[in-house]
Amino acid sequence: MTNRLRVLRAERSWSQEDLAKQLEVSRQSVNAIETGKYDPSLPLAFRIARLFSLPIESIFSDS
Amino acid sequence: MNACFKIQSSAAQNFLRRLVGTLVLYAVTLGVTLRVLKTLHPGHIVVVLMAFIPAIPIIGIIAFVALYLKEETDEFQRAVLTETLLWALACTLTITSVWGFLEMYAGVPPLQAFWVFVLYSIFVGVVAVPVHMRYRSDPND
Repeated sequence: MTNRLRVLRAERSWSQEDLAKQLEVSRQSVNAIETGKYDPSLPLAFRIARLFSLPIESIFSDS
Repeated sequence: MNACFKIQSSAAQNFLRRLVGTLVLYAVTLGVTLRVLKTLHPGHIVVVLMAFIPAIPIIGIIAFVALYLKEETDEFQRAVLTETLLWALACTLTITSVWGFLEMYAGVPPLQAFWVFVLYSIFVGVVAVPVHMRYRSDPND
């Protein structure tokens, strides 16, 4: 699964730490998701989508 | 300390505190039990009862792992610990299985079963390094 998390974060000038705090996860979690080493669960994917006010499928892609 | 080894959550801090305490308790109970059994040569019933004493901290550690997995709100940290525990289990089962065959057919000295948990604990510590390295993040990102 691929995602646009790094791009979306960069557009808002957020650090991984900033994003992690808003999602209430560790910075390692954000890094692992951004680098594709970890696929978030559906609840966490929803939290990410809500934070960016975007639908999940515009952030995550299974291609 | 590298950022990837930083204790992140209160659940992880609680787990580490409980784990260290219980490991110390295990070492003490194991040492005392072995010394008593070697020096006092108690009867069979006492031996059986004393054999259960070091098992109590082991049950405690397993319970604390389960408690951590329940308390930790960061799903990625739960996944990392689960991966570490499974790799350590794989290493322990491999080594002890191979050792068992070597005992039967190659004459290596027998491994006392209580060392299995010690071996597993060591592997958890060893395996944690490459698992955490795999997910290491750039501190400047």
